[in-house]
Amino acid sequence: MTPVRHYALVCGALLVLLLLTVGAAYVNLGPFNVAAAMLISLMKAALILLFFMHVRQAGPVLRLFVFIGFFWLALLISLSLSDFLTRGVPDKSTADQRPSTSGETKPPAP
Amino acid sequence: MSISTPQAEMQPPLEGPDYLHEHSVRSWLLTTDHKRIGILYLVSITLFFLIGGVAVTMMRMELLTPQGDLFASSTYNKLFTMHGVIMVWFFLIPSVPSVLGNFLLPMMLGARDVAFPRLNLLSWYLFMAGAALALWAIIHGGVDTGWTFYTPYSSTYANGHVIAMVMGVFIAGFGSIITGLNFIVTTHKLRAPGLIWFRLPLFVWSLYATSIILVLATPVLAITLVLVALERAFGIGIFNPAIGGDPLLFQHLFWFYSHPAVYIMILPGMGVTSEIIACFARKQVFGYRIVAYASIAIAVLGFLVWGHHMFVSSQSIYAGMIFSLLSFLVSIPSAIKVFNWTATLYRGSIWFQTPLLYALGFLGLFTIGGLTGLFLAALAVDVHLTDTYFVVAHFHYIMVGGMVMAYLGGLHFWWPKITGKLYPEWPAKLSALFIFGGFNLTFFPQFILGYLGMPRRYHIYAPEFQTLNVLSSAGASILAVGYLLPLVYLLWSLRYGRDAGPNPWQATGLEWTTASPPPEENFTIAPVVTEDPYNYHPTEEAADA
Ligand SMILES: [Cu+2]
Repeated sequence: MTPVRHYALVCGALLVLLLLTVGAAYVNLGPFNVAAAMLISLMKAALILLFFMHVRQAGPVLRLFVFIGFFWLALLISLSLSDFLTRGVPDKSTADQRPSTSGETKPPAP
Repeated sequence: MSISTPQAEMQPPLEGPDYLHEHSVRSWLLTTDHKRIGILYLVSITLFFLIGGVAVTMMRMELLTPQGDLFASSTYNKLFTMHGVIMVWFFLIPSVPSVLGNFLLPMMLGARDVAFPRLNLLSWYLFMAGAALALWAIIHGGVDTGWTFYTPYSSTYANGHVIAMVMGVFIAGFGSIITGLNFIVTTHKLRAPGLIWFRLPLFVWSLYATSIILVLATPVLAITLVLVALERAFGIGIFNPAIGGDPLLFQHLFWFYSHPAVYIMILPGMGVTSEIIACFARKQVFGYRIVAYASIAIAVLGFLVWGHHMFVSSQSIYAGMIFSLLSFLVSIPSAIKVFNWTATLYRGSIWFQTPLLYALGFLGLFTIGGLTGLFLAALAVDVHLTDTYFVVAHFHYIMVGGMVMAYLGGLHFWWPKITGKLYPEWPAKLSALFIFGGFNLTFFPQFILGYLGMPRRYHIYAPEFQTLNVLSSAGASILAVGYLLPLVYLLWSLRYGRDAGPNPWQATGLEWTTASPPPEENFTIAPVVTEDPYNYHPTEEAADA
């Protein structure tokens, strides 16, 4: 297969997935709305990485760097969630004794 | 009798022109020579250092008295923002990597240039474009958010040119990313034959670790600043709780970059220190492999500690505990390095030249800065110390006491290589002492001020803090003299300095095998590396041999 044909095929696949994204937006899947959108976008990202960015032909060092990129994103999200998911959890007992500063707006409890 | 062996054969004496032979403006602005790009960076960051220095000079004058007698509060806010933004992004981040790193990395690897010479020039243009935009914002009224741009103040309430300022930092950030990428590829691909990873100088290891941070962290800063600009310009609710955002999200994203950025600012300084201490103790660095691994460990662990900036900003206590623990962990590799440098000095034959004075200053001041960081990483103590002068003193001990000392030490150490001239030793030693003394007088009182409760970022303060503030301002004036001295005698040496010869320090490393200043492509004969780094022989061993 010539490279041009190769890229055209991948590009076509991306466009089909794009149509699928738009289509899925019109169907109400309830809690699976986000999951479906994410799944399709993951497929698109994988196609771009493997073919357009040549990761499929890449050697081990390049693959390691690709992995590190995603791993670092996971670090950012998971350690941030360690805050967002646990706000107000351990200090319920002391919360009442704390003097409340009047006039200060408190963020709504999660 | 030679007391050191560089890693390869000495190059034959240079017959052709060196890299400085062309003088036209065009030859500088369109150069792709990594050495010339290093010098472009050197000139630009020196300029920005002076601008940031002027801002802080005015602040220290204002702080001589407890009243606000020189500036309005809003002007003072703009001054410390200007000082912070310029010193962090337009001086410290590019200082050692972009000046010394650009100049030295290819030479230490035995290469003719970096892997992508044109990208290298592009990084300087991006840096200058970002700086121009930031300066434009400063001239047109300035920004008063502090260098951290905390939301929702920066995104909603602050007056001034916040968008121009953050876009300036955004653009300069791409210069950083390109430099990091370039260094990583260069280190992987352009090492001379025989130069395996564990023969690399420790400066290269530290640049490699720095580059990893530059590439992985800077994009997060870039996208965060774009989000601030979007919220400010179009009211898209990302950080402002009034329109559905979360202000702490900004702090998470910002410190995900900015804590590792502290290591961008200190790791290359650690590399410089390793080179200088080995050379002037005439000894192999103690525990070479451990020091090399410690650089990588710092780069990785440095990404896991950002929450220690948010202990009192309503981050959950659970997350606070995790980040506190991880912050204690990151001090281990730094401590390893300090102990290993000390062990390198032990029973070395010490040669008290200027670079070593700077490196010793680095060792002491970095240790104080690092240890006070542990106070701040402790959850309970931090509640008392947050946003006081203790924090200011702590990070200046790391960044000024650590990094600026290392940068100046490195600049003196490699000055003969860069220019082919020796700087005058006496004024240089004097400047090192001025800086060390002035620095401590400036910042040690600030530890006490902070412990006593003086908040940072205020120009009107309680009268009982005046004595310590006067001491601090007095120290700053000594420090200023210490910084201006090198500017004078280094320029003087360009014209009147003695010729250095290829290796004035009898140092090891490929950069010392070639002429000073080096030829355009660094080496006339491609070097082949035959031995480990730091092959110094203490004098008694050399005498035996
Ligand atoms: Cu930090």
